[in-house]
Amino acid sequence: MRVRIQTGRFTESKARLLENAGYAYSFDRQMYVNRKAKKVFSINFIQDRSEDEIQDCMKERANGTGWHFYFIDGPSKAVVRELESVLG
Amino acid sequence: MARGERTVKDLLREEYFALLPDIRRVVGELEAEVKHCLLPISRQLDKYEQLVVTARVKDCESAFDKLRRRQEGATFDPEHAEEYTLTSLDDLAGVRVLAFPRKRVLEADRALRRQFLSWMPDPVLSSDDNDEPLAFKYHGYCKASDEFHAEFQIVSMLTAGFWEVEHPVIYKPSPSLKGVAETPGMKQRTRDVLKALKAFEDEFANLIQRDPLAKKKRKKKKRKKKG
Repeated sequence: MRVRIQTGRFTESKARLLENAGYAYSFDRQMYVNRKAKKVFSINFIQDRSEDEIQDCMKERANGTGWHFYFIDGPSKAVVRELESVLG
Repeated sequence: MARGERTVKDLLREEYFALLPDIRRVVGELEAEVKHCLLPISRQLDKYEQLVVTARVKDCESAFDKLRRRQEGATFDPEHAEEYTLTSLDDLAGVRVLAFPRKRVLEADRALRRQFLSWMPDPVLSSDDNDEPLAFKYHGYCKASDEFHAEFQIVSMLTAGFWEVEHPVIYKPSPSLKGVAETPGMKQRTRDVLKALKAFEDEFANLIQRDPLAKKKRKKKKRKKKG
């Protein structure tokens, strides 16, 4: 069983940073999603990284047309498939 | 997924119903032990004071959902379905002690801590690091089963009342409410409410402490107890 231990902090300034960049929080999946940029940040990733690192990720140019997932442990193909089916 | 292959949900549901008789036994045992341990406090309660013990078996859907939320992206990996187990949850069987005023919360916590020495404390911390925890929580094994942990928590009755309304919004939100509870604005309001409830309890405790008639009553009660 893989249980994620969250050690960092999910600060309000990180939430504002994401929301100002057009990300919305999905409560059910506990991640920030931007449909336009096709990017997803898991809460674990946001907690783990600094604001500057998150900002760098937001600026990254996406490869291809699919969704880009910022997870601490890159999600497996099966998880990506499942999340893509939810995200549409 | 190949046809006939079982999903994570199928496997966890099967595990849940296999565990259910044990979960019920654990809940019964823990509730009885907690109530017994708190009897000396219950007997001394003043008319305005309350000490209530409730017990519950976590339902299948909540258990499944809680385990799912522990995964990154709140998503199970179907290729590792066999690795997930509900026995990793600490609250399949749970008992809650609700008390008013605050001093009864602290007394109940002391009494239960003495009784359940080997149990692991896991307090629900307040957003203000200097404050007392919002709830005292412990988990450990009961005699009825060593397969999973049970949990008991001691919480102020006012806070518990607020949580009754707030938790379903946060943990079982309707589609239109998804995300609302986690916004910075809502988090701030939640902190404000908890602070206000604590201020109410503190003020009440101060008034009772200063009330000369209440003091007399307390002395009388103590004498009666000694006699």
